[in-house]
Amino acid sequence: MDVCNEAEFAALRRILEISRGTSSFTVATCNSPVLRESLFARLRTERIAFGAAIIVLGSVDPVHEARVQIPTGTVEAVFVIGLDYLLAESSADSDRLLAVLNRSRERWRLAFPNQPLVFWLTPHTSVRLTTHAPDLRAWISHELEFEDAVGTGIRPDQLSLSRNHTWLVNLDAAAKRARLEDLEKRLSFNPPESALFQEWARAWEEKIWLLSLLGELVAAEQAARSFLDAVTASDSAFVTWRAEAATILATLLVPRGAFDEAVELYQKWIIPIQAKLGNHRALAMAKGELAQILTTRGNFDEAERLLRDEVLPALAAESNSRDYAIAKSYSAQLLLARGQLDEAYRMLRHEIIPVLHLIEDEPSRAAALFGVAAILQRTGAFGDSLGLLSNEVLPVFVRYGDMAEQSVCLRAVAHALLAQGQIDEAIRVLRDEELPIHQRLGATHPMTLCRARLAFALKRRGRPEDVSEAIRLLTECHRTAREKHWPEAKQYETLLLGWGIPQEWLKTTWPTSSASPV
Amino acid sequence: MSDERDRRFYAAFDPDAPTPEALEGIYVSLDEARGGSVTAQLIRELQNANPARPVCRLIAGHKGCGKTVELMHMTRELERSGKFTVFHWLAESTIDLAGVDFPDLALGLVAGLSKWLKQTHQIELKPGYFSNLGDRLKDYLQSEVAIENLGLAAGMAQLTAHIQQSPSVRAKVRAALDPDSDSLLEAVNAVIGEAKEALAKKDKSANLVILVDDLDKGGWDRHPTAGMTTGEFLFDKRHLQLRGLNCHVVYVLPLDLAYGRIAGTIQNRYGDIPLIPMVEVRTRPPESKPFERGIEALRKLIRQRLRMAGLQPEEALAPGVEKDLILVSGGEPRQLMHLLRSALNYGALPIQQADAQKAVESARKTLRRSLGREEWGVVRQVAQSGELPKDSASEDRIRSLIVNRQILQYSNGTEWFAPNPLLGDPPA
Repeated sequence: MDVCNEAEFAALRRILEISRGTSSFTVATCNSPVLRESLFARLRTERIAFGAAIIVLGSVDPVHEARVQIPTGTVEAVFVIGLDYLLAESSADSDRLLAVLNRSRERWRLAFPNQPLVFWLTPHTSVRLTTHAPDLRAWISHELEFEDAVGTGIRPDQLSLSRNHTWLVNLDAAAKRARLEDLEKRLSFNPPESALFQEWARAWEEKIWLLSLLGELVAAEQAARSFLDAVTASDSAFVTWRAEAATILATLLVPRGAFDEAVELYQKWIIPIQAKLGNHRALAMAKGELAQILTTRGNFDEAERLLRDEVLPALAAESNSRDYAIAKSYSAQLLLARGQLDEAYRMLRHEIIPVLHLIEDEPSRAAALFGVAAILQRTGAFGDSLGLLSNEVLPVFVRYGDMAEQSVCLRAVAHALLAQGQIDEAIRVLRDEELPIHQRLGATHPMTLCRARLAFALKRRGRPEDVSEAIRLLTECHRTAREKHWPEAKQYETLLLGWGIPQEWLKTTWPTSSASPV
Repeated sequence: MSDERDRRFYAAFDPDAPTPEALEGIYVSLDEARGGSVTAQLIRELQNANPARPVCRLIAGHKGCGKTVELMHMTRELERSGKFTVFHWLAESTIDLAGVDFPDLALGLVAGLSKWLKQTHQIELKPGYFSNLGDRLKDYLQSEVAIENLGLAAGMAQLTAHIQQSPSVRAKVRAALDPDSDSLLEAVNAVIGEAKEALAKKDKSANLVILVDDLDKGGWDRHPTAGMTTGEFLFDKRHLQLRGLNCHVVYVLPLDLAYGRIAGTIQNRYGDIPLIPMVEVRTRPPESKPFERGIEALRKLIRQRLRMAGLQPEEALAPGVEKDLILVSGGEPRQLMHLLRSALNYGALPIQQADAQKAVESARKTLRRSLGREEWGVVRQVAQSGELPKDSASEDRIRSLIVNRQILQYSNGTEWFAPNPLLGDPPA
């Protein structure tokens, strides 16, 4: 744990110690469920008897919910988690719940009269609580801030755009646009004064992710470049943000295939900055991310050397099981890319997943299991893969409310179903489960990819109405991709031409959804 | 030993309102540093009032300025005179304040009053109008409450507990009782009348005063039909009922109503709205110099609590810490308590400057986080003039800044405002 988190952890421990037996209110902001869980694990090893009440989506009364989960007198402190999903702008009930929470201080106190209460919130929810529940906020005696600077989990199959930003991903499209507007206002301070630099930089970061999530990939990339320029021109005291800005830009470059520039960013910016700062952990993680890009680019030997000689030994020296497991997952990804499926499977099953299980990092464990499911699919074991995805992976992402990960999982489910010939069910999953998530999130890019897959499935089923629907869908995908300058535009065009669609149709706007060129 | 001292310190600076018994030991009058006593004025008004013509007044103030403590002090002072019996009702303990309207307020008041009379004065009131209420409402409550058999106190406690459970139940009960508001008011007054008689029989003053606390914690929700907030609806459209109780009554008004668009209407209906201001620890902007009388008042408050905890000032606070925290609290007693408690998280007693600074930084971050460029513009103007900007376009923003304690209200002769010192300097 870094120095700042260590100091906050010491403060948390002290709060729990000195306020034992009394009622008190603390807000702990934490941008990563994984970090939060690791803090909980540490408290458990120190034998601090706390109870964690998980307030689930759909809860009507958080106080009652917590009280039911934690009977009085059984614990010395009560942690409340899960409020982020309830209070997100995308939750239909969030205004009412904020009003309920605003008046809930007395009820919390009566429910837990002898226990300090700690609300674990994301920074965004914390701000919402400040502005919309001022009465409760006025009773918060302690504010702690934990920040995971690296990431929240692993996605062995691809770089995740949603790292650290689950709450952001889960906002619906309108809320994302509203948030963007809000951020634009905040970014009017340029260049910022020192005290506000962190806030300003986080606003930039949020803006870029929001643009990317909304499918505005070109605007997101432009914003990432502007952000990098701005932090480069800023006070050298914030040099760490230069590395952060470069990482964000690199993460956006990889999906569109701009590997060379992404690699260059790591080699010329990110890695030298972390080396200069003497931040061994961040340096090793950056090298791990570079290895991941090299793997995607096909530079397997270079990626292997980096992981074997630099990343894994450095992280082993840091004695951080989670970081080490994440770096191992990069190795597993490399093995997968090389086609060494058995070795990748063994590494995930026997080296990575047990560690994540041990440190109770459920989302990362689910992500690693997703990697196992992907391997099973490549070996043709679609039934086993389906079972794993349905029983062990998807429920975790549902429980954690991570809709982006749910959609990735559903995509894999649909793929397995198609492979097994269950075309009706695959179409249902794509149309009724995956697509609505993208629509709700306003995630234009994954939504278009999903529509394209649906088009394939429909074409494969081959009913007359399916074929015309498939062509309509894929033509729309092609138009969107062309307008937004996505790399898939060319692929869609090739496929449509292959389906017998004349070239001139693709250059015109599609008139109505019912009209079909064939 | 040091852990034990730390815990005593922590307990002593509990920001929650003390119990009436504990109040005696820790109460410190902050009136002089607040520019006068709002409660003393109210006490005088009540003393001069004719019991046959009850007084209905409002009181407002920032969160954490000490309203509940002042109302507790007022209770003690009025009862000490022997001329009043005072029921200080913490409404939130009986009713849900979401969308509160007169019917739920009336039921909650009867429940609270009857319980208090039974516990404090061993007076059991007759159910009267309320005897068959459980039966009337059984379809909405999905349960039958036999008030006639249980007695008024126990029956109403059960009834209000059922009503508290869900917003839809509350809405249905409100709709069912709304057409009957006048009868409900009569019934509440019958209970008050019976209470006065019973008190007199027990040689207590029949000059009953009800202090309705906590109403500032609700009233944010939109009224379903009236095109205003439920708080505005309650204090404006229900003024006849609120003012119609047959005893003296003081309601705590949500602070935003005291500054909002219907402030004038409310003033017409209830008279001036006295506000409990912050303790003046700095003079009015733009000078904003430390104000010794206010600093001394809060120092007394700290010392009194330290004494109760058996701690000497020098074993609790390093030199300079006390004054720094008082100044940065902006004269808000609850914030001062929070800061003292929070500083203890970063090190043991005596609290050192560096630990106090960490507590300030942590609180500062939260307060600054929700401010955008326009809000900072208002804060800057207030810092220069000590007044709220006059343009109506900023009204909502100003109200929000006041409600969120980013701008604080003071009063020494005239009312003035200042940015919460916890905000620190505005961005360049």
